[in-house]
Amino acid sequence: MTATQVWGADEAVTHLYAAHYRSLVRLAALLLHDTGTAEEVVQDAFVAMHGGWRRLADPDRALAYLRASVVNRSRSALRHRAVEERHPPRIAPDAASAEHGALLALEHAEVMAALRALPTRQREVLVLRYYADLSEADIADAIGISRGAVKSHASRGLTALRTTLERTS
Amino acid sequence: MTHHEDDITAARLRAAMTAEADMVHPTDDGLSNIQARTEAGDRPWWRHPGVLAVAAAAVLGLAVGGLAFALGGDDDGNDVVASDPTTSQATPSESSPTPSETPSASESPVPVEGDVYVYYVMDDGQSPRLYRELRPNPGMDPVTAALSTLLAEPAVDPDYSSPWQGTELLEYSVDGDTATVDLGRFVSVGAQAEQVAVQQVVYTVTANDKSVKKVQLLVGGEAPQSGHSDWSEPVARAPMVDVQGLIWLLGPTEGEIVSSPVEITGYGTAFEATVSWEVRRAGSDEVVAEGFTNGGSMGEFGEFADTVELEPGDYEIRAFESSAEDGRPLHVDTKTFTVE
Repeated sequence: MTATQVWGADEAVTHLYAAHYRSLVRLAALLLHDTGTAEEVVQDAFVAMHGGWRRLADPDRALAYLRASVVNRSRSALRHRAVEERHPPRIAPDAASAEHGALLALEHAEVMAALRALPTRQREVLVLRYYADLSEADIADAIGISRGAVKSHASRGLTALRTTLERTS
Repeated sequence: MTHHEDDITAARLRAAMTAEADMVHPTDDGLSNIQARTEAGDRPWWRHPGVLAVAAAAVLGLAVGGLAFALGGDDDGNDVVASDPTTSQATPSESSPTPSETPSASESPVPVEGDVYVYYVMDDGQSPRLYRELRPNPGMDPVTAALSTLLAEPAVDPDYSSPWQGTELLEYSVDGDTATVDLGRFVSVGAQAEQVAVQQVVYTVTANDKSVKKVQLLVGGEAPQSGHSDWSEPVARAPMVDVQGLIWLLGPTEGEIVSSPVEITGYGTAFEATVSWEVRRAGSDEVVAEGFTNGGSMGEFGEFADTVELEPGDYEIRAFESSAEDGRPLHVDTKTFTVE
């Protein structure tokens, strides 16, 4: 990817947008359970990256930066929402499409509800690992915690998820 | 727990997340939204929409009055914040917001090697104030590293923010005791928030280079034009009691994994020096432990420390001053952490 080293900030935005915008919005949507806010969060992250491009100037670091920025901003948005509402996360307004069958949709809704009930960092680690398929090191970077902490949050999160699902099924 | 059961849970989770993500279809105008905003950043300040709004507000007589800041002078007394709080010293307590006469702290303000101090802003419910994070230095000179973090990266604590997010650092230089920070843009916020934003830069620079006493802000090589205040002269630290978070929770840090007994540490000032703390289970209102300890008082900042025994789990801790009037928590700082 040597050609990319000559990207200016504007080009970087265009290229990284084309390659990663959709997946970053989906990542934020899973963290936030709200597509509109997810897009805002990702756009904020791109604007911040543009401002810091001179020091970033590397597409790989830029993606890591965008991811960390999206995770951080999503957490912040959730926190504000929680403060405003003082209630646990909302139930999905957009129930899963019925085309794969109501049972499957129900299963997914159940799992997503259990995921949303987890503490913030466990949820973030599980989304980054099992949706974004990131390595432990990349997850550690994105959340700003140690690799040991990633491991521990992942295993605690998975166990908590299983316990909740066993209770409800 | 067996690996097999975890694998099954993971597979269910993967399927559910993929299905939910597939339903998310970003709109087509994302790129143009981003480009409109990044181009706005390159615009001269007088064409910036925020400035127009401020100018319009001023014309209409809507401008809000800012805090009275003592910005001039060589307030060495404020250096205490830049130093390690463990070296905090007895300051003759004065309730007036003028800089105190404390001698400079003798310890170097430069934090442990490889890390830098970065100040962020949080509104504590009464006014925006500065909060400090220890952040890694990717290998630049400490002030440049700290400023780069401040300008481009969100705080680790999700309650903190920076009005400078997305601003470019054009140049940093030092001449004698005055540093010059040349930025790609100026903040466009209210008068009080602008004072705090400028102090955010001043505190960050002076915390990472002890020899710097004043900071000249520039935007593209020229004095910032704000519509609120005159920034054509170098700015020294405002008194801590005016701009610094009154209660800083320093340990555990945000997202930290600790073992029990957990050490609670912080830095601040409160009525009769009493700093209260509460620990809740993450995501619930259930208070599992609480207590209080002594910090500084009467505008004098001091460290506080306490310990708490906790079972393994995820928690949120909040440190605050209990209102002398009605016991309401004031100046709250919170951190989430995990006990292994």
